[in-house]
Amino acid sequence: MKPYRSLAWMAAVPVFVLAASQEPPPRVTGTVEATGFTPVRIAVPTPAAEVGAAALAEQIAATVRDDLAFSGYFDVVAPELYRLVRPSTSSEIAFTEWRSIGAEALVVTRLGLVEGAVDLISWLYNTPDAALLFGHRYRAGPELVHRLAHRLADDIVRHYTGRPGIATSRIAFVSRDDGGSELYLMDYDGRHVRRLTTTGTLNLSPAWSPDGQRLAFVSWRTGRPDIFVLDDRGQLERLPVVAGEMNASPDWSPDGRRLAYVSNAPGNPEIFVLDLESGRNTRLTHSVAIETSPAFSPNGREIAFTSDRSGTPQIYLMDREGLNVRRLTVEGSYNESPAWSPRGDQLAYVSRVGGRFEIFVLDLPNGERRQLTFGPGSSENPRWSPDGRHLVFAANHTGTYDIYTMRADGTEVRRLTRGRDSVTPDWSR
Amino acid sequence: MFRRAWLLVLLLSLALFLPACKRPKTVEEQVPPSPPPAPQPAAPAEPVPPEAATEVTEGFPEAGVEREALEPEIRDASHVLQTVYFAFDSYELDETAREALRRNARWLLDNPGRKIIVEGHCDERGTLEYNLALGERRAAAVRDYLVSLGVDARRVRIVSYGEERPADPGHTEEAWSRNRRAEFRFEL
Repeated sequence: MKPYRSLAWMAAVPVFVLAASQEPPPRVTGTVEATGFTPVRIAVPTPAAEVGAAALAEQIAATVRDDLAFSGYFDVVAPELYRLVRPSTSSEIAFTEWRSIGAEALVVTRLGLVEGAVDLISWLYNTPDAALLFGHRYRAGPELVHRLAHRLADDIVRHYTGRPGIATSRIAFVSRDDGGSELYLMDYDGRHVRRLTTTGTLNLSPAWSPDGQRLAFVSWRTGRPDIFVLDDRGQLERLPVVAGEMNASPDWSPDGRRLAYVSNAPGNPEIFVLDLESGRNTRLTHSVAIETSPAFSPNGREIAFTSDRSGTPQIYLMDREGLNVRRLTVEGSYNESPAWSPRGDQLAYVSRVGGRFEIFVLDLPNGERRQLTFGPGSSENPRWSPDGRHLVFAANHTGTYDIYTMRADGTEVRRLTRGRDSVTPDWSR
Repeated sequence: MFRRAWLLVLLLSLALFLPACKRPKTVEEQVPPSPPPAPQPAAPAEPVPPEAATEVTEGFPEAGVEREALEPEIRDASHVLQTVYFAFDSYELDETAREALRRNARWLLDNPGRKIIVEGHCDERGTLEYNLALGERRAAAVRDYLVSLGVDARRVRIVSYGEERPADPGHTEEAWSRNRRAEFRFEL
């Protein structure tokens, strides 16, 4: 095994996707599915950068490190150790030295600015045998440099796990201010917050379409709660739902062709499904009680929802035609806000514990429930990350509501917003 | 006529002060908060740049716009239609609420020209989406009772605000009990 690998050949390789060698890359550790997956120890040194791009280079490296650490699949070798290693040059990489500081994997990057655009060439190496695992080139305008870094991180995650990473995913939410509450968007890590609406009225409950290009949400812009869709080009559309004085709680079917929602058109809140192609509305529930919070299962065949038909809010399940209704939650006097895990085997929800509201997860195969949050204050509105390893939620731990994420087991709680009075987050798929 | 004179004095004194103070904030502080003192010949005696004086005497048309506060009853119906309150996670009308609604119904029957909006509200406890439905139930319960007392259903519209529009921003039992309510507005 050569300790130093020549990089000279790379200059001649046509850019965009630099193919790795034909042999399958050696596996550093076990598979994702295996219990006790050992995180890969990876080093992400700051890209070699042109003059004037040093700040960007540092920003990119920091973002990739954060993304990899957050994924849970990696232990990022502390950047302070990187200066013990000779910097990579176009002719050699000191693999032995990278191994000596504990790096099993190494991300070598070079940053350039081409016609004002950021240009990042990156190679992923397995340090034990100096094997090239992949090479990619990324380009983006400087305003999208964070997304460029997230893309690289996701590609690294995908290489090791065979699954898409979540670093490019986004969280939609609502922040309240004096005039009302407006829709916002941020990266999964809480950075790059963008305001989407300026209505001066109330807006709530954004729900991502499966393709990530549309947000359904509830807005009072016509004087009553109604359902609108905002697309990624800024086009706003009112959906042809039934004529109720309250239309709310939108949720997309996994194929993006239908939208479940709640309307009081029949005289009390009932669950409907709108077929987006035909514009046809179908009523699914028939009771004198409150029905709300419909949530399509990932296979699209079932809908979880909340009903107080028993006297208290409880979570039920029905077929997508509205048949075969059965109650899911049995413990507690207030269970609401069901959210399916991407694999459909777990349901996160909110349950009242004493005077507070906490997030629980119901394991559907065996019916066991686990409490994930334990105050202070209340935690609400759980929604899963696209990889099912994290949850986003709103909590008033500090007295005002903010958006937080946590691991699906309730650990590693991270606060994403700061005192914005932010609620109803939804994580893009 | 006297009012005009007041205005003139006010504007003149403003014109005097304006060149002296650059920051608008300071100007604001110089404006008498209460009616200015009786007209004095002192103001014109001060050296005023001729241009400024001319401008003032020509007047600013905007100064002639008069504003009048609207009667609260234009929108807010609370002075004639009593707000009703609910127990936690309930949309049942208790006897106190029914009594208030009977009075409200009487007023509505006596004033057949007014259309109303019943707003349903919740306290901050519970999930936003459930509270939205709960607010709808509260407003609907109020409407249904008013209709049962003879109020034309076409005069009553309902809107749920869930927990988004608390009457009391506090986080105490007392605040919560004030926020679990249905209140009335007039349609314009």
